[in-house]
Amino acid sequence: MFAPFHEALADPPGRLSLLRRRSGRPLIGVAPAYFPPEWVHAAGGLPVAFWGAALPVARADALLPPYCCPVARSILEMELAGRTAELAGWVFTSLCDTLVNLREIFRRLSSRPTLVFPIPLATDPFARRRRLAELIPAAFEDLGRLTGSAATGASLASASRLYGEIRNLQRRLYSLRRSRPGLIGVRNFYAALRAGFFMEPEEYRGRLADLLSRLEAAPEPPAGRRPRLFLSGMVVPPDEVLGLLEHLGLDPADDDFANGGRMISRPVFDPQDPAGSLEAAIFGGTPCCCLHVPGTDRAAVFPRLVREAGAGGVLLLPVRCCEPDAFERPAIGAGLAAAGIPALTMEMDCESLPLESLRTRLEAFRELLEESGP
Amino acid sequence: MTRLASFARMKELMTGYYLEAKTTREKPVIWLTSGAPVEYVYAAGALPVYPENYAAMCAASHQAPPLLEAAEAQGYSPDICAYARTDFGQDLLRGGPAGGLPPPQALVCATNICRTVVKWFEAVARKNRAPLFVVDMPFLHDGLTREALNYVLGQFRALEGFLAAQTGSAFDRERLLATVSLSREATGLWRKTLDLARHRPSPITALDAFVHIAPIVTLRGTPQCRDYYRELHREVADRVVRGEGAIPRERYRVLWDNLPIWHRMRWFETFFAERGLTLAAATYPNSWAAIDPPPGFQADDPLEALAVSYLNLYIHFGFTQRIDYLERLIEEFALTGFIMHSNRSCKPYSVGMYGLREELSRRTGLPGVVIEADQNDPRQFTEARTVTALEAFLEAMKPIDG
Ligand code: SF4
Ligand code: SF4
Repeated sequence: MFAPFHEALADPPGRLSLLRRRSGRPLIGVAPAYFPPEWVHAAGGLPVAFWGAALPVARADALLPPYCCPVARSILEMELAGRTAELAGWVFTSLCDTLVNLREIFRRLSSRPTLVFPIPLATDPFARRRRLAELIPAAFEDLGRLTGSAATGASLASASRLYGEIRNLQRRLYSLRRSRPGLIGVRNFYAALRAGFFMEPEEYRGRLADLLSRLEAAPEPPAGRRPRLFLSGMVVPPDEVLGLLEHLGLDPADDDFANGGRMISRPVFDPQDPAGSLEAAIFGGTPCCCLHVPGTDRAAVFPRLVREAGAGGVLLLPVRCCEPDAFERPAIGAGLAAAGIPALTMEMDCESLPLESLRTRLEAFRELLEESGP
Repeated sequence: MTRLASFARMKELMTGYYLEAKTTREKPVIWLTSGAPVEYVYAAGALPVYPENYAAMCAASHQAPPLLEAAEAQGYSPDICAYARTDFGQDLLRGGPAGGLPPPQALVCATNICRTVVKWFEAVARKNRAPLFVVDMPFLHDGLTREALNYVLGQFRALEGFLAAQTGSAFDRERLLATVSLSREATGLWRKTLDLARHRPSPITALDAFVHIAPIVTLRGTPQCRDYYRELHREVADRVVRGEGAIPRERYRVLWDNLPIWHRMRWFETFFAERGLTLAAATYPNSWAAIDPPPGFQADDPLEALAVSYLNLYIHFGFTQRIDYLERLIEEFALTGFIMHSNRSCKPYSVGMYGLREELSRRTGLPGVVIEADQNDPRQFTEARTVTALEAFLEAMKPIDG
């Protein structure tokens, strides 16, 4: 059931050539986060989202210091190693200081065009809304440069519909995981989610719909008490870590990864209400450590998210050197402690994963959760 | 290095400033980032407090380590900017030269230096249950644009309302204009002072500039600040008249990029002076020295000019503009090489620096060196490694008299 999803993620360079051949569209690399992929599609491109990869970094060392996060370092490594050579251009947002500068590094590497979407952080709601409204036409103009064709009202409406359907399917996948513990393996779940970054959207929609109908019709998994977790961090951790969770019988009920729960909690762009829906697509939904949303305190919201998910504990998986996340960790930890929710923090460095020590810590955490009961 | 006599005056000024910040009852204390439009805060009759400045003072007086450790013990990762960690630590221990900062009634944060400050100020706002106003200043990937300027001006107007709510009285535009005018005078004098380093020998080094930066950061927009920079300029200009250099025998004239390494100021001073190296230019002090705006942005309107000056910062430039600017400094200050501080704390300044070094060397034909350290965290500084890198750099550099 899950093979096509795993396949889509197995060999990124091979996948990119396949996608380019199959789709006939220019491939556009999308760096984290919140740039609407439907815009790329509407402009005739095929968005391929990169969230970092577990690979040794060698070439990128010449351009990025070790105190830079492995997400940025691995994306640059792929670029320098020619693994993203099939891309016609790159899209960045101003998600964090590292990505702002990474875009500058990329544009000096080759003549391939890059686009940056500056996410407004103004407290003043009018300034923010006005800014978004004026950024939209500028972004489409830049996208046209990347893809070689312009989005039209019709292409935008149809891309928004397509991606909206995908979003709904992904939400169904999430709610299935939540309501039927043990039904979907950890690695399978995230493969089904992340494959969307490396598939043509029409194919992905079809495969996901098919998967969901099969899962929904599947018999109940054998009953058994498995500790349910809420996973939190910037990005879905490497496959080895997901495999470890699965192996240890730790069962995620929900997550707030920027390429997971945060993404699916946001609506897609609606051409009928460009600035309003873009605002919702970026700032609405599960809070993100990289965004400033006046009146929203992620640390205060967090325990509620965990309870709603029915999770008995939280696994915080911050990316090494990710400052936006690191700033919020103490407040989140304190909020969880005050709410009596057990939490374990394990820093993720996909350049080198100390799997044995992660396993030991996870085993201890599982015991704690088992003792504390549901 | 011959210490400037104005140093005593500056100490006095800063002591008075911190004393007032710690004791004021009538003025609301507003925490600000170094790139926020303080003129609005002074015009509102509030008292601005700068945790960045205080963090630097803690490091320069070697009081940062226990503060950093206290913040880390609270769960703040060593990966986050050490200014922020120092600040969290001063709050926990009431530490540093002023025995801690007064808590904010409100906070104003601008993204023209980094986006990190938003997270930092959010944490402080959360702890103190204080309102936070973010002035978002879009990064200038391709230079200043009219849209970016209008976006910032719109937020400046909203800031007036935010401050009025804090002080409980209507925002006074007249007073703002008077403050802006004082601020422009001070930044103009600061720039004129820094420009005196074009003379050979240079009468002032970047290490002096780092020290004398405090009033332009904290008191910008006050008459005391303007008067102070008048005095400083006079003193440095007198050195030029006398042909007196900041160090005894100037052999190398070098650019420093990034923040200073506050906890090693004396060490660098001695190291450089012994080798005849003057840091004649630096990007960091220029952040408050009104870099010339691009053509089409020389505004007559004082508030627009103010917004331009806040947007037009080196750290806020795309790399092409950064390189052009560095090249210009090298030429105008007749420099013989450049030092780049790869500063673990400061990603906006440092990420991409390795490539910039290569490119700048290629363009100018001058040697450049990257040293790895941290502006506030001494644990990130390795003396032996730094000496080796700097000695190799000195060897590759042609002295002015060579
Ligand atoms: S992991 Fe964090 S630091 Fe790295 S790119 Fe993402 S938001 Fe930025
Ligand atoms: S040192 Fe850099 S990261 Fe830290 S507050 Fe200053 S500009 Fe931001």
